[in-house]
Amino acid sequence: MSEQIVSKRSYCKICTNQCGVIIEVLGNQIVKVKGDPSHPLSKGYTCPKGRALGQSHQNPAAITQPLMRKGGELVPVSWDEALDDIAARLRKVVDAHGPNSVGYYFGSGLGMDASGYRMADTFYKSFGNPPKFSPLTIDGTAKVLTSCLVGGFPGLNPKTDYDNVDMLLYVGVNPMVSHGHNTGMFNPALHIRAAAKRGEVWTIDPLFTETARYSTRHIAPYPGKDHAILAWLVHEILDGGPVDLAQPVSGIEELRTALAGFDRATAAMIAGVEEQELDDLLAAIRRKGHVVVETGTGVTMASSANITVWLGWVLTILTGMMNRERGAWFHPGFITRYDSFQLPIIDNPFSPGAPTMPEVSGIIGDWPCAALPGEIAAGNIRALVNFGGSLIRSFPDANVLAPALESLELNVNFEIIENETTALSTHVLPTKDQVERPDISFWDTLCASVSMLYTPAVVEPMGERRSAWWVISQLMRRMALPVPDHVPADDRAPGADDLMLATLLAGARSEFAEVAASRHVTKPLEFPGRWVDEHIERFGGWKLAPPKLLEFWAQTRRADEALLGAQRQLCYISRRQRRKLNASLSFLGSPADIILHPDDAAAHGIAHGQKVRVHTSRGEIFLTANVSTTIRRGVASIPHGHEAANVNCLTSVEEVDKMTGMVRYTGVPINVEPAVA
Amino acid sequence: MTFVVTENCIKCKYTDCVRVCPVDCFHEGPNFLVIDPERCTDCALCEPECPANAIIPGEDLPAGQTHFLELNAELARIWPTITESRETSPDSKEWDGKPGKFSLLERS
Repeated sequence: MSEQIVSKRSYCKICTNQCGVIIEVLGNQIVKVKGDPSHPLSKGYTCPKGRALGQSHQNPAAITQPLMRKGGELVPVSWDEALDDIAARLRKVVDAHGPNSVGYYFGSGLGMDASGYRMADTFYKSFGNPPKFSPLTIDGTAKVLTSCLVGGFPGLNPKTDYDNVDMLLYVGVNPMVSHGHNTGMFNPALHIRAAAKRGEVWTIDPLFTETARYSTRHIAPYPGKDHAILAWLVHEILDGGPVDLAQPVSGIEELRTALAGFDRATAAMIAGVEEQELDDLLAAIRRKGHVVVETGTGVTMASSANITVWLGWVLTILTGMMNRERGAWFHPGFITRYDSFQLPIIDNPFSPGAPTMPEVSGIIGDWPCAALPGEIAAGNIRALVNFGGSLIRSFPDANVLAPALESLELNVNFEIIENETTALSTHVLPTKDQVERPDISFWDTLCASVSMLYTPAVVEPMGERRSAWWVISQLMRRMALPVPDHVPADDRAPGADDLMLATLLAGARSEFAEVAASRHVTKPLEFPGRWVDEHIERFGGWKLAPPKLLEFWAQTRRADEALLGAQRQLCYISRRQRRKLNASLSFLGSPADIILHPDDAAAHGIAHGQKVRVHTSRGEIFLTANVSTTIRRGVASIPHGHEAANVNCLTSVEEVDKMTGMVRYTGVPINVEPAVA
Repeated sequence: MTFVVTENCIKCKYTDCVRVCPVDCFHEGPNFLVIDPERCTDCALCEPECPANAIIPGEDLPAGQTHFLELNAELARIWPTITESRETSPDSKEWDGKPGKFSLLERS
């Protein structure tokens, strides 16, 4: 009997949005992926990345067997051989140099595998507190910094009330492509257009993005200079309103003093925009009487990230929009119920950083990713366990990182598709991909509702792939580390994967059985959340003027004002693409292009479509010129994480925010010229 | 609301839009594509894909193109669904931007 195409319901785990999908399967092959119109949250929406699940799964470069380096080559081996070898060598490194000689990277690859991620954390913690890296310091530390310093808790993450918002200011964020990531936006165009229709949506971005296209107005400043616009707005609002506080605040006078004399002309010059644009934006806020500010990686990857995110919060707080309708809401958690206990006050996010970067702080337990090559070179880190990170394309300074990774005694990589990072590994461990395992929506607070999703596996695992939790627990057993009692001995035993997921929902708003049976549970959202107002009251009100941020502001202001009138070097901004997510999905063919303003292209003798050499002191890449008026003068846009032109050949381990360890990934000065054929 | 395929698609029919639609709401006629307004989720993913800039939000239709709203709905009921993009015909580019193509629309 010939096999039939079967439609299976699931949800996409490419990003934390997690849209419902229908996957058409023929045998063990994915034929097609489409949006699930009956899905209660995403209602049929998926982006092209999610619909490429089949191509990701059936990728020609898929890794389906454990690999181990033998005689210089990565060769397929059995799980027993790979795990025995890793355990023995890891034990040797730890015994000889201590547990802190092993570094751990918690990448996005395993980040969306709920039980795998939890087991990775258990493994890590069994060594105490060794060097830990995560996407935090290559994506954005400013948000967690601001939530601690201003709100007294790292998990306060404002999300726009898209049902009611009528004055929305996007700064360096392109939710049409990113889906907001930690705001959680299905069908972003629908929300943005509705908000623009209801009121006004303003987008501040050096590029006329897909989001700007649907906004009421667009302002294109120099990258990393958005803070000047926001600072002037705060200055004006403190002076002439609208101030309409929804919760108590402290620090208004200190803020006023810090911003004293910061006038419109200065702000416009620093940002490189027209004074009229600033006036128009202020007038819009005054017309509506409030504003909610949303920031993204365009801000958090810039050198001024800390004060830009902070000033965005200040505007939202001053106009009474935090935890209020039309403004921003806070996720009370599905797994951990933040509204069920008295939230502790945590206003210090700083933790010890890397010894080779003594001037740079660690943040909530993370070391700066930029410190990894230096730590390896110094002999501090001798082995690395990489839980699904495409390090060469996502860490700074690829030309410095690659030889450092190659010099490691042990470099274990959990990965399912070959890339430049697997090529440098000593061991590659392929664990079940997102269609091969059951899973739950573990990153509950990044969702747009108080909900939990479950999907069973859609197809059988390819080749020898095993559950990530099993692989890690096997390593632990081989190293005589304590494995939690509930962890089954075999991932191939019926129900073993589900059992692992069930334990993650202990204490959650719904039990695993309910979530698994219905595939989806949504609980009502209390908005405004009493738990937020009560926490802010206990904290003594939002702290509008944290001394560290005032100091950062003062330094930035001095530096900005000193450079007024000086020639600015062409710099690049980092761009997300519609058919690519960070370092993954290059196979969908997004172009390796550099968007240049016609004037900048002409000044450098570059024609549209021509190959361009882009270089900094750290390295060079080659891109195709996309000459377009969608970008402002003086700025070029380069895709982030592109396989054919890795922008991290241009970035530097030395360009790091000392306060939080974040690398500078946007507003980076570059040189461009036509490539010599 | 819905997105609408307008006049400049006629005889161009690049089909780039088709592969990004999450809900398979494109329908194909001999020399034109339409969007089924009943299925369209208004996600806007198709709009920037169209090399001929022929896809427009329903509420933004310029004067002279408003009848395409009803035409998309009508033809979507008759024409078959298209779910995969295909090679562009060599004369697509030639027809891109030519005025007065409406009279060339073939219904069957």
